[in-house]
Amino acid sequence: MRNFRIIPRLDIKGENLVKGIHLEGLRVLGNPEEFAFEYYKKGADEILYQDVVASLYKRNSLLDQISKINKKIFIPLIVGGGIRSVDDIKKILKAGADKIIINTAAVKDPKFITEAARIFGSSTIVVAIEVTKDRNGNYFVFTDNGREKTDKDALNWALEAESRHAGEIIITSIDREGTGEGLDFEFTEKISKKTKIPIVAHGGASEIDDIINIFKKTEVSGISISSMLHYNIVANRDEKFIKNHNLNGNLTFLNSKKKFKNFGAYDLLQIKNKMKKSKLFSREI
Amino acid sequence: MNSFSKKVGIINLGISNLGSITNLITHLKREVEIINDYSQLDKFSHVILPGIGSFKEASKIIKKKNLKKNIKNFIDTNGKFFGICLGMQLMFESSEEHGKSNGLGIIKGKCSHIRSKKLKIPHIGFNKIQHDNHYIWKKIPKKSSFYFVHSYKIDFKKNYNDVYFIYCKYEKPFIAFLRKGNVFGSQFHPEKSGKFGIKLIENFLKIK
Repeated sequence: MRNFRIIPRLDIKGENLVKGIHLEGLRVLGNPEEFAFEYYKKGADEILYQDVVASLYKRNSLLDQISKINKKIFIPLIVGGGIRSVDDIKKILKAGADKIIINTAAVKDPKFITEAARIFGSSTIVVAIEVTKDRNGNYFVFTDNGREKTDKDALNWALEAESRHAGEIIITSIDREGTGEGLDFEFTEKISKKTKIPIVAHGGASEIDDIINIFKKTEVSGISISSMLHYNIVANRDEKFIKNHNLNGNLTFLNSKKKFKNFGAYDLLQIKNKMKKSKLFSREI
Repeated sequence: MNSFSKKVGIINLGISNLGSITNLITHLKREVEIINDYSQLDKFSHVILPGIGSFKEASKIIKKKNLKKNIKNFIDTNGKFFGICLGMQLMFESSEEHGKSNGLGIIKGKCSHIRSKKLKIPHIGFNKIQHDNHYIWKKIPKKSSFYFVHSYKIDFKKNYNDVYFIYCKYEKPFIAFLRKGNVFGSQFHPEKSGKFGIKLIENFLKIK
């Protein structure tokens, strides 16, 4: 039967889980391992780790975290951020990732997709495409975690990635990302219809019905979500959490104890239960 | 030496990521060793053949290193064997992946590309199977979900002689799990299937 995936996404900066809006303005939310383990227990189909600064500073600080989490979490781990060579892929897979994400390096040199798929197998290679919609309704590709605009048409680029044997594609709507305004239905519908490989949509999900609706009405295979899950964990912490966990970085948001108003905060189990009721099959626990 | 004092071995074909399955065996508190010398299989009570990678590459290594004979000896002397994903596909006679190549030929049948008009390929994610009452499924719900990621499959067929198949349906039914005496195989990844996958491997390792 057709199956569906919920993929919690953890944006990582240094040792912290962070979250921004439109991929910017990062707030520290806590220790990634705590969140990843919680989502694993509550029925996540896969977990996605994205090193959000790797591409910028040309480094990769994820390896230790990956090998640590891989001893505790027995579902697939997808890892992205600053991957630009076959050697980078080898290191990340060796640390325990099951699939790797390439974006900027693939846009700069599309042959990288073909080569990576040949060496590691298509199902290991995920191409991420960050898009924004311009005034005329055209979707363009961005790189470097939403910082650099290119002149590539997003749909054409997705088709090229498919023809170069990418195993699947994750589409991030930069316009929606972190806003809670809802997933980009129009583009998800279009791209999932035109491609034969699985498409994962990311950016803007904030209500369970939004997720159910896009699964039912498009050919999308997975939804990657972060804010609506993360803020639920944050909201349920006790007073002394920050002190006890020795967090560093931009803690203004955590210290303010504000709710994030655009998001419904949900437990992953609520999402999975609603999917089950709607006959959308995914991991059952 | 009884089988419980022996280690669990994981065959290294040099093309797969062995980290996850190794972590799982360690998580289950069993001693585990990566097998690079294929003539040493009798050191182990349980041997796992994991696999992500291409059938053709694996087939070349099997032929070059005489792995077929070693695995057959291991199985014939009551060794417990488990093939995962490509490791299960390799138990069959051949595959059409990147041109025809030969497998171990432990079970009759061949591996072919998933064909679907409606569904996406590769088949990725958790999908449902319904298992039989064999003790390898102990404490696992009758209908449960396991993690698949594959573009090739073995078409489902009826049980024959001492070979038992369990199917999963992705438009058409394909073989999700098989057993033949002390030999087991899964198209899905138990090491990536959460607690039920862990339980399956735990049960496998308890088989004496």
